[in-house]
Amino acid sequence: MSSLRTRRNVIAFLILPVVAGSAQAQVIAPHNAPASWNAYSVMLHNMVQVWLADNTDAALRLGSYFEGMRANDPDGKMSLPLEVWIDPKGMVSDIRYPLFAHDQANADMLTVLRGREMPEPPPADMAQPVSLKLTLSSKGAG
Amino acid sequence: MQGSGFWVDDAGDLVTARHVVDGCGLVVISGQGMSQTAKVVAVSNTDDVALIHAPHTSTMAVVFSEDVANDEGVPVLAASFEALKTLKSSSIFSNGMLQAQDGGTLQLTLQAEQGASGAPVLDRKGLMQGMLIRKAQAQYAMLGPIPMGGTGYVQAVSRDHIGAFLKANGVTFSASGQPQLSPSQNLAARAASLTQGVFCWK
Repeated sequence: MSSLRTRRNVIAFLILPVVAGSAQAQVIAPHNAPASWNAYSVMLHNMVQVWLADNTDAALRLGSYFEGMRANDPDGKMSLPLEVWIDPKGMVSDIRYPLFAHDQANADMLTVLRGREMPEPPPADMAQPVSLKLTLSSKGAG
Repeated sequence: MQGSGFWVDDAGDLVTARHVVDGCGLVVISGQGMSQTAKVVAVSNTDDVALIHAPHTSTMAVVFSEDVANDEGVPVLAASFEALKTLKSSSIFSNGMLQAQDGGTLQLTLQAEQGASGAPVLDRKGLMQGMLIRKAQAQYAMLGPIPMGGTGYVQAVSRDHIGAFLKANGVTFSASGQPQLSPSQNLAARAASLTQGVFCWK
């Protein structure tokens, strides 16, 4: 089994759209968000999976880093909150997450995710950032 | 053989027309810069529908319309994976019209180009009403003369028949009556996001 295949199997995401801005931002749970926001969030979730599974040096290195983090977690699973901003044309303009301890991993996160283009622009009124929760578990998809 | 298809869940399950994948030695799903090999999981004995599975849902799954009726005269948008590469930059909201239902088959007026088999038929809410399967047979000539501009009569499998086929094969899908697009969003771009290329190598 290749490292790429392994990485695809251990990354899962939960999605929560949130209002952009300060720490006081109001979280909008999916069940309270318009269907168009939820639809776009699901597409973002799937595209992040695709981007993380890229066959590029940065993505492969990042996948190995995630594997190491998961292996060192006593529960065998780990979650990473990720906030994503999408510009009006559908490009990932910024991301925010708790920084990793290693500069190379942080650089790889930016390389893999920032500047990527979604298949279509977001709803103009959609609150941002979109909050994704990356869950790395040992449960494989087969 | 090249056709189109669409994801029906976030687990890598995709629906296309059965005839697109008949006798394929290798099936490849392509879209958004990603190609994946896929496996034919099930084919319908009654409709031109097939279920295939790939490792990833690369964009998003369609949402089945749960509106009470497929009303005649509803504007719809459906095109091949290839055609949508161009159409997505346009602002069109429909390229056809839902004309009639005959059991599990929908009759549409729209331009059906090569490779459109398996494409989802979307209404203006961005909800899936059916799937293109073929140009209409002669018996539907009663619907009237073929409109100008290359548009013709096309048949689609209804969402209800696709849904029943998926349920029989243990696939869970989403259905809603809510618009999946905000007023600012482009239906052609959504169709391009939803429609995948399905390539069959025999």
